[in-house]
Amino acid sequence: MNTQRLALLSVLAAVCLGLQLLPRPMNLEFTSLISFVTGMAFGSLLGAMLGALVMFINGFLSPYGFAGVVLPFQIVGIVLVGVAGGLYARITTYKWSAGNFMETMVLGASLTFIYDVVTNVGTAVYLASSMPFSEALITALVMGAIPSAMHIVWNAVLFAGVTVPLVNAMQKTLVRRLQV
Amino acid sequence: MSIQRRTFLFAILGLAVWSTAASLTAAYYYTQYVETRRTFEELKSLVINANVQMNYGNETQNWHNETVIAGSTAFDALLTVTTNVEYQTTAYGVFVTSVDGVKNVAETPTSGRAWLWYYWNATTLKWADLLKASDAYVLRPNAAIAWRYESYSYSF
Repeated sequence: MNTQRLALLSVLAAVCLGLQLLPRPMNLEFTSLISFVTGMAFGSLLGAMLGALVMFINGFLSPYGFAGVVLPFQIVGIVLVGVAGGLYARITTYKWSAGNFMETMVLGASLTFIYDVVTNVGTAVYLASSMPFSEALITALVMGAIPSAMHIVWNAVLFAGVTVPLVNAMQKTLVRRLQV
Repeated sequence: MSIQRRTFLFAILGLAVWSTAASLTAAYYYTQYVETRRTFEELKSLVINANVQMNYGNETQNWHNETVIAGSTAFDALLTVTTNVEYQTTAYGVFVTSVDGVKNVAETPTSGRAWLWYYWNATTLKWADLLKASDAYVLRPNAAIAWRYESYSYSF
């Protein structure tokens, strides 16, 4: 990895962590987007690692408090987002069109949904100390439906509006084509 | 991957997320409905009906059928009819001084016009005065309360 790419990766990690630790409205987050974009630009492994690192630190320093048993699930969820960014880069031609905006919107919604389901499983593990796991899982999924819906809408808009311009800008910064 | 196949796959993915998230949202609201319904059924036994007569002393008299929480007082019943109430809290309880802008007037030290309240005595079938503050009288189911702006006079 050359210096330019390393610097950009460091900046992305710093921005991602800074935004994640800032007090903000519930379900409004940029970590998924930045992990996804990092996955697109630097490959699935680095996208996943950036997301995992940010979520790990967030688990301890979040303004909402210690994540506890949900932390490993948050990490797994965000790793999936970073990996998906790398996979999406492989099927993208980088000749941007309106289709890419729609695709990133769908991906943003889908990955957020998967992330929320995974973290809700973590919540179910926590709840399972006082009820059967199947009941805890249904409770976690149903009670998390509204925050999840808000999260999905937010990330769908964010992914659709930001992914393509951001990756495009990073392409220009790095001069050469990404993922080469 | 052809464009059509790719578009189809993303459309399926988007629809799958939308339908699942919408189903979960519907399940959430259903559980809220069930919970609210259960709470309502529990609370239903905790509310009572109260009939409140308002007499402004100027031929204006009307009835209000109100639903109040069990344990509410005659004063609470007044507040369900109108929130435009002024009162003083004394050692004996609440003393209403004005309702809907109609204020108590002391014409002499022992007489004047004031807001007084009565309850309907179902045994004697008469309006009765308990000689105590309205917030000290706990309403019974289907209680009838009268708030009247009328003349008073005391003699010692």
